Amino acid sequence: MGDCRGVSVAVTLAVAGVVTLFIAVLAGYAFIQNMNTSRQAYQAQMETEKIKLSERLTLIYWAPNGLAYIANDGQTRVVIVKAYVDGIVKNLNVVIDPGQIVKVNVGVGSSLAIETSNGVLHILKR
Amino acid sequence: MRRRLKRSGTTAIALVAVALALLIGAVILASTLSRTALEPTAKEVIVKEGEFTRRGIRATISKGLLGYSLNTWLTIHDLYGYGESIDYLIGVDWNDRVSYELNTIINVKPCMIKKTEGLGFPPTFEKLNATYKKIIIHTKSGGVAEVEYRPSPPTIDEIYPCTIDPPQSSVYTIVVKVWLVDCKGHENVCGRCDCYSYDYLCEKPFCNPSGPPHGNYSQGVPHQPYGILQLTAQKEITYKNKKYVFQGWLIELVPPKEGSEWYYDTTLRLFVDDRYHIKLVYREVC
Repeated sequence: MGDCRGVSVAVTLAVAGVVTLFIAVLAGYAFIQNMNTSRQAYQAQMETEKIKLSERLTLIYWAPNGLAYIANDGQTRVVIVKAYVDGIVKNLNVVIDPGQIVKVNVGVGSSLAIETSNGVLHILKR
Repeated sequence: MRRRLKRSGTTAIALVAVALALLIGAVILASTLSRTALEPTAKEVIVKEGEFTRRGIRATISKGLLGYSLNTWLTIHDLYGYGESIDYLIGVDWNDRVSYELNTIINVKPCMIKKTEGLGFPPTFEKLNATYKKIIIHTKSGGVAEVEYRPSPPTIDEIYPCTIDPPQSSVYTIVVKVWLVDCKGHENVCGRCDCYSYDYLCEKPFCNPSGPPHGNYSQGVPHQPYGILQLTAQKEITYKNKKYVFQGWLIELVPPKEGSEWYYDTTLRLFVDDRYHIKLVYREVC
């Protein structure tokens, strides 16, 4: 009698096929999950981008005493977190509702940019 | 034979395992790449500029409309024709301080004319100009415009088809008197004419026999009740054998608001937007 130990080719292929199928299903599931996560992340980012694009700040007047009259002409609430006057940063925390006009003491200078909590930099005066 | 088969089965399992490992690796890599591709844009700062250059309106402040007037008028044009709503006005004085603020709603389509007095500004052009270096207007859509001062009234082409606010609500009486000032400085009223804004003719010879001034009323603004009273004075008149020369028109509002004002052309085109007292002043040739 010859040596009967070992796995026959048929069984090996069958097991390999089952395992491959199982792992392929797992991998496919993981891939789909991942795509869902990516899509959700993309949608969330699009929402953020939409909010960013809908932000509209207008400089009405910048007085020589440093008071800037800023209007929120967009549809979303905006939180001003930073003002850049001639490149010098000033931290702020000013909330402007849509349609509201606020007076913000940003200091004196010639160029003014405003950063909002959504990460939008509004260059209001060059 | 069996041994060879056994070896090939083990090799097949090994190959399958390697292939699976590669597959899993590829999936993980793809997912990692797709995630990292999202992250940098999420952290980006969007730069928006040019907001300060938005201008949807043009605004002018003029002394009178179509004709001379002691009142000051604000004319606002919507440049794009979509209709604008003004929600905020500020007046910046000559010390660069914002000394006037108004939250209001003025709908502009395609243009609107308002008496500045009705907005809380001084009524006369000179006082307004002396008080405010700049007047800035903001619209709901984000437009910002600085009002331009112009001493001359706009023409009909410039304000057609604007809405004038307030519309003429009452009859404005214009009293015109001829004043003669003799060589000693004595004043003498020698004629008077009352014109009413519902009369389209105000042509009366007064100060006989010379008879200046001649006046006529006309509808100066299409679709608006405001009229123009055009008065023409002679340069020279003779009264009781004395010769007098034209000096000017002395005009004041009734009741007096900011004092009287001289107008020196012999032809006066008055935009009738208020009650006025007008003195046509002649001085004796000495």
